[in-house]
Parts: sequence; C-alpha cells; structure tokens
Amino acid sequence: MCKEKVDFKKFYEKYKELVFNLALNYTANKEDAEEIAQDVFVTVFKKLESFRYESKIETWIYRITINKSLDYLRSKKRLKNKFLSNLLFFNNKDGIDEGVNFNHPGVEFENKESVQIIYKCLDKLPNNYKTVIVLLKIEGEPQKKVAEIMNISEKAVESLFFRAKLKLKDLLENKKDI
Amino acid sequence: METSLEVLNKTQRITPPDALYNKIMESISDRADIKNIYASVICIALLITINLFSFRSYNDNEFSSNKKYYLDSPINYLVYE
Repeated sequence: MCKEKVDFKKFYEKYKELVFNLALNYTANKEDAEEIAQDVFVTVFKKLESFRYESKIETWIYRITINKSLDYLRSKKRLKNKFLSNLLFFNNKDGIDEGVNFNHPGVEFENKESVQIIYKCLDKLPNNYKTVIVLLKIEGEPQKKVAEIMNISEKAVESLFFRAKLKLKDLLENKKDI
Repeated sequence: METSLEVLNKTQRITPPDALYNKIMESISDRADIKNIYASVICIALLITINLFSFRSYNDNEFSSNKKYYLDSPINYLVYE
C-alpha cells in the first residue's frame, strides 16, 4: 500500500499541471478545475491497474480530463437551468447570460474582459468544437497530438477547427449585437 | 477573429494548489471506506437471510418429526386415551 502511495505521488506530480490546466481551460474557474482534477485523479487511481497501454498514458489522461470537464460543465448547466426554470417558471433555452463563472488565474488583467467574452461563447459551442479550440489554441498542442487525443485524423482536426472558428466568430458577432 | 483567439494563447500555466493532493488521497480513502461499508452491509444481510432460512427449515423439520412421531406411535396409546 505504501509503495502504491509513493508511485501515485510520482504520477500525480508528473501530470498534475496537465490535468489542472486543461480543466481550468475548459471551465475558466479555479474551484471547478480543482474539483475536476480531484475527480480525474481518483478515476486514474482506480483504473490505472486495468490500463492496457493501447494508447499513451498521457493521451489517456487527456481523454479522461476532457470527458470529466465536459460532464462537469453539462451537469452544472443542467442544475442552473433547472434552478432558473423553477424560479422563473420558464426555460431559458437560449442561455443568453448563463455560463461560465469566470475565475481564471492564468489570464492577464488587461485581457480578462475579452477572454471572458470568448469563454461565454465557447460555452455555447458543441463539445468537439470546444475541445479542438481548447487543445489547439489554449493548450497549444500540435495538430497531430490533438488528432490522437480526439481519435480522429489530422485532416478532420483541421476541418473541425475551421468550422469551430466560424461558429465562434458568428457567436462573438452576435454577442456584440446583444 | 484571429486577434481574438491570439488572446487565448497568452493564457498562463498555473500550478495547482498543494492541498489538492491531500484532497485526492482523502477522497480515495473515503471511497475505500464506502466499499467496506457496502461489503459489511451485504455480509450482514446475507447472514440474516441464512439464519432465517435455517430457522424456517429447522421449524419445518421439527413439525415433520413430530408428525412422524405421532404417526409412528403405537396404536395402543390412542386406545388407552
């Protein structure tokens, strides 16, 4: 048991920044990222023995973190909508002002406002669009690695990113109108 | 548009808080405790079920053995009564 703990500690030290920052880049909230990171490492601890090394361990961790982050955001949004509909007796389907509770410590003060607006729009994108933008633009991962993480071809990543950018641009323009 | 996304590139990497490791280890041990609790609840339920079954079969046996006793008893007893 002690040996397991030491190994897990090493494992944690190696991947803590990757997991925490990826979760932070999805949620843009420090507390949420902590919660997701905690959940990711508990899952990794439970499933590490059954990991079959068919993919790289780092890719596996990326996938777990992405799935946990998206699940977390989905459940948070569902809770918020439920609360709103209970409170106001109507469903806010467009979700104009709901979304991220912005608390990203990695964003510089002068960029905070514009990044906050981008995050609000990112929150309305489909999951694969959001993932491709987070991995390519925020995490700065190469296209090949993103393709590996998302389990799609590099060409597919390219076209997905193109469509994601168009959608984000559209949302940003509409946001200005509001 | 490109300038908007360039802002995202400037996002800095953050070191997670030191307390996070302890929180993870706590929740791992909590889950282990929950497993133990479930295991002991299942064991107790199993013991109660086994006891109920054995008690019931014991009663059945008692009844059938008594029955057998009366059936096997000599007819003379009944005559004298």
